[in-house]
Amino acid sequence: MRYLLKRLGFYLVAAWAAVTINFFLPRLMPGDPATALFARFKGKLAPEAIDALRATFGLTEGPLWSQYLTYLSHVLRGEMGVSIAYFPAPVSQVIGTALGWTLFLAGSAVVLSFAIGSLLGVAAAWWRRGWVDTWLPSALVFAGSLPYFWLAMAALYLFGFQLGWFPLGHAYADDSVPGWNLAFVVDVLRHAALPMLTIVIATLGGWLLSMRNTMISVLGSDYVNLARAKGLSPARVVLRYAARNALLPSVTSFGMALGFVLGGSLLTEIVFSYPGQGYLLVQAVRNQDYPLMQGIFLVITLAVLAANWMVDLVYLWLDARTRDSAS
Amino acid sequence: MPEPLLSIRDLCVDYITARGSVRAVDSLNLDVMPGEILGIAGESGSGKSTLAQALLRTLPPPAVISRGSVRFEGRDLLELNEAELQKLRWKRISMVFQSAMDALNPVTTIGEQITDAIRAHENVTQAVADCRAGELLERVGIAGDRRRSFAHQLSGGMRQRVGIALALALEPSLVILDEPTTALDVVVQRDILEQIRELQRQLGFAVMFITHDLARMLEFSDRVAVFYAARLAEVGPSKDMTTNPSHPYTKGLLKAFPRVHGVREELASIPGSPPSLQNPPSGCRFHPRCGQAVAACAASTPEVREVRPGHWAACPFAV
Repeated sequence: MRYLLKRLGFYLVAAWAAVTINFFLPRLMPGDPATALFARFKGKLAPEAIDALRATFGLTEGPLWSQYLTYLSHVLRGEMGVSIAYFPAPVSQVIGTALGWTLFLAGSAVVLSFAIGSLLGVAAAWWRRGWVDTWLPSALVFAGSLPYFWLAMAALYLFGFQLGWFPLGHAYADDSVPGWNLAFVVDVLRHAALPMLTIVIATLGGWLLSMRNTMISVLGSDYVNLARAKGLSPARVVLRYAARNALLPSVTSFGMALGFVLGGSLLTEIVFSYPGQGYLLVQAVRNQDYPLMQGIFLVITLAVLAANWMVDLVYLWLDARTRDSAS
Repeated sequence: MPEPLLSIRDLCVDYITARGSVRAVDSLNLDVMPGEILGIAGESGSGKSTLAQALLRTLPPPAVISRGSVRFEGRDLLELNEAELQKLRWKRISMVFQSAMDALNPVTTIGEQITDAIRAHENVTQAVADCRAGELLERVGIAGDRRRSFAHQLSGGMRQRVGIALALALEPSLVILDEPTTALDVVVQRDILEQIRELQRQLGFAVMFITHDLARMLEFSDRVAVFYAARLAEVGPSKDMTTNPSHPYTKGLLKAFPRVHGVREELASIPGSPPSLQNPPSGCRFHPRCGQAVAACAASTPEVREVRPGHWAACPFAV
């Protein structure tokens, strides 16, 4: 318990550092959002309006440190200001919608990839030099080493454009009405299938290889040998004794992958025009939408930290050794 | 003469590698009588541990059993299929591994590792199995509630006791101890061996005790088999072996150990080093290091013959 609190403390400090960097970084960039917004109206605004805009965005309120303090207090209350690109929607609302789609798309893709890859790794190690072990790792590593955007565009071109099996973009069809009904869910799944598949294919090889390699060394260990000598069924030996131990290193990578889901699906969302975080981030940068950028970076940072903390928790549960060294 | 519990005939185990095969157990004949303690001694790489794993048929590739038969309780172990083996393992033959640290699963409790052995073979509830796990631990001198512990929370000696409790879980008729005390200090070694002997008297199982510690083995076992370079050199009652070894290799080994009792003798080591199994010497494998060797020793493999009742040696000069 004390260990968990200590870890929590560490994550709080890390979160503060991230929030602070998040504040200063965009201010180092040339230009400011008020001028950007002013430019978007292409001369239809009177020059005096630019000062009014500056005031609206809080860019005139005193020196940097007082801006920083205001920013901190807003962050704590979950207020991230008003988006410039999507004016006048508040940043929290803009991010909220996009967050849902990204969590759904990239989150399930990472979970799927981890689960399938690890299981294939177990199979490859168990039937060593079998067909799974001979063909799959090299094929998947090949797929994984292709530039991802190329893979995604090739898949979109072939299965979406040429064969027409999948829609070309967006999270759901324009004529669908969002709601919890079967037709809409099916539509959303159809739209997510191809982007999800490309992520899974690109990342499967890594999970497979890492699981396979640890499995092989674990399978040679005495406790697996003893489990076999105990007359346990092969399934129990493999899952309960070997895979349970071999999974531990993969769990760490899985946590990191989960953390990067929010920021890392940028290319997928651009290629498939998927309305998630990555797509939003590009919009924000294009429009010099500082509040939105800050909001997205903040969410990404917090997601990485939260995922790490979850891995800590899962590790405590999976491996008793960490429980003891912790207390 | 009672029926042997385990009867190994002409057993060969090979490790097949890209650079050719290596025979780790070569034409072995050996019996284990019910309820006896048979010691198996030999240098590292002489095939002792390979033999232990071959008996349970858990040898990992590239090792293969290429010849021979192993009769155990009326069946040939080498002819059983995987399902039959699964039923026999641990129920009839169990094993204590060399390193207790590595032999216990680090992520589950020791109780779970005992109960899953019980439940793999007997149709009992988890609660009953768990209760028995506690009793088994008590039996080897560990408080029953330690079954909720994980391996890393126990000392080396306790872990090895857990290994013994685990081996006795299903009251098998043969327990193989594969260097069970190598990783422990001398005092703990002695305690554990005494405990095994005590349990063996109560439960009557036979023990196959594998070690390279000849002195301890002679003290602990009823009979001793000495291996040299994958072959049996000598087998006989421990007392007879201590006072009157027949094979020049055993003689050399005994001279290399200091004696606490009796006449003070000069310690002597055997010249040379154990041969490579990839390219073993011709004829008697000990001949390059043997003081008594003659030309014939390099030419033909010596027969294992009975030099005294119940005492066999693979040397034409043994008496």
